[in-house]
Parts: sequence; C-alpha cells; structure tokens
Amino acid sequence: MKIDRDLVLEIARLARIELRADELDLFAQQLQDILQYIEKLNQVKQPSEPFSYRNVLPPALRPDEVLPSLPVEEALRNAPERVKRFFKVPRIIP
Amino acid sequence: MIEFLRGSIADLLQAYRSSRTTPKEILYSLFQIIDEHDHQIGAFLRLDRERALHDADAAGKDLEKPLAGIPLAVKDVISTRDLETTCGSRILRGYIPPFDATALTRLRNAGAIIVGKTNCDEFAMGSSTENSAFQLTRNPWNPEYTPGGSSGGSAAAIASCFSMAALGSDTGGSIRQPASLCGIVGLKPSYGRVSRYGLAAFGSSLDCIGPLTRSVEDAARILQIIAGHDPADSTSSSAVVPDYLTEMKAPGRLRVGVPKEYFGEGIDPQVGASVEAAIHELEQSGSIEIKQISLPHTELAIAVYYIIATAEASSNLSRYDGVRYGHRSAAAKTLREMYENTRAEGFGAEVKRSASR
Repeated sequence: MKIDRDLVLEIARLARIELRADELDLFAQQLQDILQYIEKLNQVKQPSEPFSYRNVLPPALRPDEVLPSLPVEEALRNAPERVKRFFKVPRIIP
Repeated sequence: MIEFLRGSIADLLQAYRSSRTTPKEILYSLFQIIDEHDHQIGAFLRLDRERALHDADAAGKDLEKPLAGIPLAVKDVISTRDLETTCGSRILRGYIPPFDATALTRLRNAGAIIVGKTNCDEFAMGSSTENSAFQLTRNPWNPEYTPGGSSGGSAAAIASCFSMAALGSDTGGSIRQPASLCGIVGLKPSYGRVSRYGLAAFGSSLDCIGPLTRSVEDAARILQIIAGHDPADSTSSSAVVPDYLTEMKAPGRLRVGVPKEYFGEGIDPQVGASVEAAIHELEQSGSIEIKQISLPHTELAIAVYYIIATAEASSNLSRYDGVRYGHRSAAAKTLREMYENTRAEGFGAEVKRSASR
C-alpha cells in the first residue's frame, strides 16, 4: 500500500490533528517505512490453534452500586473554559 | 546522610527505627543533592518539596509502616493529586490531577514520600527520553549518553541516588530498557499485577506500572505494596500477591531460558559479552539451571507491537481534545478547529504519528 500526502492528510483529518506541510511529507515517508516494516507479518501462516494466553481474567462484573465519584468542582478545575457547572466549547451549531 | 541514600531501603528503615536519622533529615539532604546535581542530569521535571517535608514529619511519627519515610520519584505519566502531571507533553502543561494513581495511594499509605515527577518521552512514546516536550535527561554514568526511555528520568534519578525508589511505566520496554542503560534494577510486572488506574493510557492492553530501584530486594519491597487487585481497574489481577521478600530469598530451583534469537544480528558485542557473563555467573551459583531455548517469533515482535500499541494509542489520545483539561488552542473559532489546532499545538511529532494510524 502506498502512503502519500493525500492519505496522510485524510488520516490526520480523522485524527483531528492539523499537520503542517512539512509534516505531511515527513509523515508520509515515515508511515510508509513503518508499513513496509510490518509487512513482514504477512509471511506468517495462521496457526491452526490459537496461541494460549496465561492470564485469563474472570469477567469483570460487579454489583451495580452507587459509589462516590469525582465532585463537579474537582472535575471542572482543569477546564480551559467553563460556564457555571459546565465545560464551555465553541459554538457547535452554526 | 549520603551513605543512607546510597544504601538499601531496609538499611534506611533500620536507621530511622534506631533513631540514627529521621525522614525529615533524609529529605533535606536529598533535596540538597538534587539541587546540586540535577541541573546536569535533568531527571526531574518538578519537585514537591513542601509536601514532601510535611509528609516526612508525619512519617517520622509512624516508623512501623513498611516504607515509612522512603523517598519515591514518580514518572510524569502517573497521576499525582494536586501535583502537576504533564506526561512530558505540552498538551497537559498546567494540568493538576484531582486524584492519585492507585499504585501511588498504596505507596503513600505505606509511608512513602513523593519527591517529585520525573522526565519521560511524551506519553511514554519513545526509548530515549528525548521525546519529552520539556528537557533532555542525561545518563548519570556518561552525560553524553541517553539514559534510555521512556522512563529515563526515573532511571537516571535512581542511578544518581536522587531517590530510593521510583515508579515507571512499561508498554514495550520503557522500564526495562532505561534500567539497563542506567545500570539499575527495573521490573516490569506481569500485565494486571499492578493497577493501571491513574496511569495515562498509551497501549492499554500492554501498559504496566513497575518499580525502578538499585537492588532486587528494594524492587520486591515496592512491588509488595503496589501489587494486587483494584476495583478501579477491571483488568487488574485478583491472583494472590505472594510474599516477594520471602520468595526472593528462597526461590527454590530455578530454570532460566536463554532464547537463541536474542543473540542474533544487531547485538552490540559489549552487551552480548556482559549478558554471557551474567549467564555464566548464574550457572556458577549451582542452584540455577540454564537452558538454551528458541522463541522463533522473536523477529516479528516489534512489528506486532507497533500495530497493537499505536492502534490503542490513537484511541487513547482522542481524549486530549481541549475540552475538559489541558491545552486549548486560543486561535480556534469552530469546534473542529479547536480540536485540530489544540492537538497540532499540544502534541509532539512522535505522538502525532501515533495518533494518525
């Protein structure tokens, strides 16, 4: 698979990261190199039996109890912008 | 005082209990040593002097706790209540967590005193600590060399005797490799042995918190406290926590596997020689059997790691969006621009690559 500038631009758009023009070219090259490196995995034949995994955990279920959670003021104390008890963001609906 | 700070946790505890020194005295000397030398090393991003000295006072009154008055350094990807936690990233500059990581809560309850936060690669993504947004950390044995990473600040702090123990995190070698490069002990516990609650997520199915120390016994003492199930991390193991100090002193018959693939192409001759010497030493001890083995998939490990770690990282990094905490771009007018500019300004190159996969 070929990674070009346009593909990096599209991925960056999906990841919501604004990339500079020089980063687009650099990342296209670097991601291409990484992709090429991991292509060595294609040589592996699928084993008939799945590999075993030692640390099988029991299902992580617990009783549905109300427990204390972070107080609103604590949760808001790092907010870049707030209004009353809410996080404030730029207008969403134009 | 310096001899205690170079010694073991057990000896320091003994010195406290026999009133040869006090936690406050030790913390004063420790900060003095850090002030004198850390400008050449760059192990710490910030110190927590006031609280440490306050806690040292309290620790001096209850010396029966297993880590009473033991100084501890904490990698900056681990959440510390009321103490800035940046993960080595501009995007979290100024972030003051409202909670402690579980591992840290347990260590504090055991009497440990937090000295400060150590430098690391941004969000633990790197192997040299050069990807920190803030500073370089140098190897205390040779300042021209890297301390390794991503827990390079923790490893350098321990090798420099800036702390008795440190916490690091390991996703793909980030405790083991810097410990090795700084000539100290680093332990990556089995996945799930230590709660990840309060560890900034990188590759959630791989991330582990573990100790960096100057001896195996000290590592056992730290692991003893931080291991065990935590309701706040459903992936933490409920397996019984053994008594590591006892097991360490009487391990029974051990068999050590030496995978032949680890000695293949690319190994530095000096590294190869010192590993061989260590194997020889284990063999000479008489109670340890060395067995040559083969792990044929070794050469695929990094490729597999890259897929898993970055896939998980790109999801985990989505929370840094400028909404609830951390940096928010001042330039943005729309929500979309706020996300894109915030992340462009806040993330370094390696993290941008990880997020874009």
